[in-house]
Amino acid sequence: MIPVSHVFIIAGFIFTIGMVGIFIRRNLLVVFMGIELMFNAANLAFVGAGRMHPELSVISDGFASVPFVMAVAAAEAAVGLALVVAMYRATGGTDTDLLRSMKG
Amino acid sequence: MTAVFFMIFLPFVGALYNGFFGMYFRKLSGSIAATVMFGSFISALAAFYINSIAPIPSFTLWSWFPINDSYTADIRLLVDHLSLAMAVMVTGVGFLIHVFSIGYMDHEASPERFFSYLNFFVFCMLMLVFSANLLMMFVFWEGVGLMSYLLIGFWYYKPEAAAAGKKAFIMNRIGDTGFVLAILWLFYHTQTFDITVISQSVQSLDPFVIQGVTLLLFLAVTGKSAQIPLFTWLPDAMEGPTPVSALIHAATMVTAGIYMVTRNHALFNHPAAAFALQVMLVVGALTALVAAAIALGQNDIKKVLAYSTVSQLGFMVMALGVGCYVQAIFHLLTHACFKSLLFLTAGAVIHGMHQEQDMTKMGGLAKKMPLTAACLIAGALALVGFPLTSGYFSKDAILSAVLIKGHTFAWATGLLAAVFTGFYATRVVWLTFFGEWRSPHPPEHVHETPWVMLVPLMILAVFALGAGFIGRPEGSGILYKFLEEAVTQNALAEQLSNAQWLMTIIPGLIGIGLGLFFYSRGQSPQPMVSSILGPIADWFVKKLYIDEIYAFFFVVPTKKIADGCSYLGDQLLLDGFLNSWYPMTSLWGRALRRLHSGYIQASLASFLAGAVALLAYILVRG
Repeated sequence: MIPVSHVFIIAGFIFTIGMVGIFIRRNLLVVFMGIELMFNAANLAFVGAGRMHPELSVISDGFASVPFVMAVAAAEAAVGLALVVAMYRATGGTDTDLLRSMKG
Repeated sequence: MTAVFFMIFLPFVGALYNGFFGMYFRKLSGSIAATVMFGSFISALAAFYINSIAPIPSFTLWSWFPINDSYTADIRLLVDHLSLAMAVMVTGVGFLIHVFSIGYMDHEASPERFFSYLNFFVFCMLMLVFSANLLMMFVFWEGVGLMSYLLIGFWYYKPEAAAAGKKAFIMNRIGDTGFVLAILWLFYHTQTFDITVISQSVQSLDPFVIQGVTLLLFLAVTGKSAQIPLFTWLPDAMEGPTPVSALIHAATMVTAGIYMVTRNHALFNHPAAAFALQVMLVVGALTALVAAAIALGQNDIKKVLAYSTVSQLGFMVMALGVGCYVQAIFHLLTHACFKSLLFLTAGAVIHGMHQEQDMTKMGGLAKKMPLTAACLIAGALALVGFPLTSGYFSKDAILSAVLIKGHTFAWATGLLAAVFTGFYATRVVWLTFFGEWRSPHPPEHVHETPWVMLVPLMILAVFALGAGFIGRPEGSGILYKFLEEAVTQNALAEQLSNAQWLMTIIPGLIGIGLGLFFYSRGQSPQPMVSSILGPIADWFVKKLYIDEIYAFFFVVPTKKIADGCSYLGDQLLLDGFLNSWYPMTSLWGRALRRLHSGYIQASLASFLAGAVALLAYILVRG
């Protein structure tokens, strides 16, 4: 039996990896991969939390949240990839530094 | 009561219709406006007739607002012979001018605006005439002024028209100050605005109050009825369409001052008002003379008629000045007929000549438009006071009243003004209709006036020539009997001797004779007159430099003061204060814009920092 704390630690690692990826990579596709990693880390944390509190009802159950997060992640991926294509068409690249029109 | 109600509110309905829906049926707007005016005129006649059978009582339309515990201002209509006589004139002349306008405004892009204003003007004028209290009278006094302003500036895209409208409005404000002060002063002492009540309580008023109030009221008259010193707006008001000049600036609105004095004649009959009457007599006589003199030198046909109007109003004020209100109203009524006729024929000529107003560029038009010429000559004869025309009776009534009351000097001034009148009237007729063709355009395109404009002219011509009978015989004619109850005035003590009577009719004839003498022979439009008078003639052409004098003493200093206030208050104080803040704002702005590098990762980093800070805050607070 693996303790629940291990699950959270793993989830925290994965979340941090995703976040660092978002911050230090300039390629928009890799940034998206970082976001996906963060989603999955959150999912893992949900599963851990579900194991921690088996007495809760289905509605507030950690397991129940997992499919929602997956669905949102899938939708986000579809929109995000479309955005990447649109950006490539508009700027000719996928480097995030190309998008600086909000510079003050 | 119903007839009076319809008479007043039909034009109002017409104005609303043309104001809100007229733009959808442009072709119809003139006909509809004229139709409601016809209804109004018929109602006026009906009211006149009903009143002759059983007097119509004054009635309250609605309660306006309470002023204090004891007095509530009402919208109340005062129906008596004076207001009915005025109403018949206003609606009758107004109807004819509306019909004329259908023809005159046929090339206009937005006639509905014109007819809406014109209808609303008639409504305001009728409400002014029927006002039972001074407060209501003042409101509609301003109402006719507003409509006058809007109609003078009808062609608002012309800078001169806009300036003329402004001038009329501002000069009238000066006079209206007097009106407001007089009303408030009266209210302070009588606790009422009601004209009848005030008239009854005149005897209990302090003589000083009477003196002040009558002088202030006369200030209002100098504004509205274009007397010295506030008359210069009226000639400029000729920038408006000609029917407007005929209706507002000749027949009705400018006579509101005369009407107002007559309506409040109880105040002026008080012995303490003697000084005000004296002032009115002098101002009236001077205005009659000066305006007639300026009219001699004008080449614009409408300007001549405008100064002529000022001059005739001067005659009316003279009559008021000797306390002969009925004579003033008599001249007011005949003047409304012949001067609106003159203006409308001038309008017909201008229309036929394609907006040419300069008489020196006309000439010989009698062959092209004989009926119009006949109408103009009829109006001119009445204006001059040619024996047996309406103007002859009314002007004669005024001049003889002035003489009988013993004001020989004012009488002589009036006679001189009458000579000038004869001269400039002849000049207008001659330069326009006789002599040679002087326009640079070929005469072929000039045509006789269309019937829709000609018929009103003919009707007015009949009245201009024949309306004088209502004032005959002097002192006991139809008009005198009719107004006996409404207007209390001392009957004239004596009749004129034949020689004196002759003296009052000859000047007009002398003027005509002089005019014919100078103009029938000279081929040039500026014949011997200028060579004989030399530089003095130039003075008349330049309108005695009155506009320039006013500009120097009032307009320019006012503008200087306004510029000073603008510099001190607006630029220095307000802008200075506000501008002192902007370097600081811009400093902040420049500092903060550094945060916006535009890098997505930088924005995300600040987002993360914010999230962490929030989390930390929640954890610390527990």
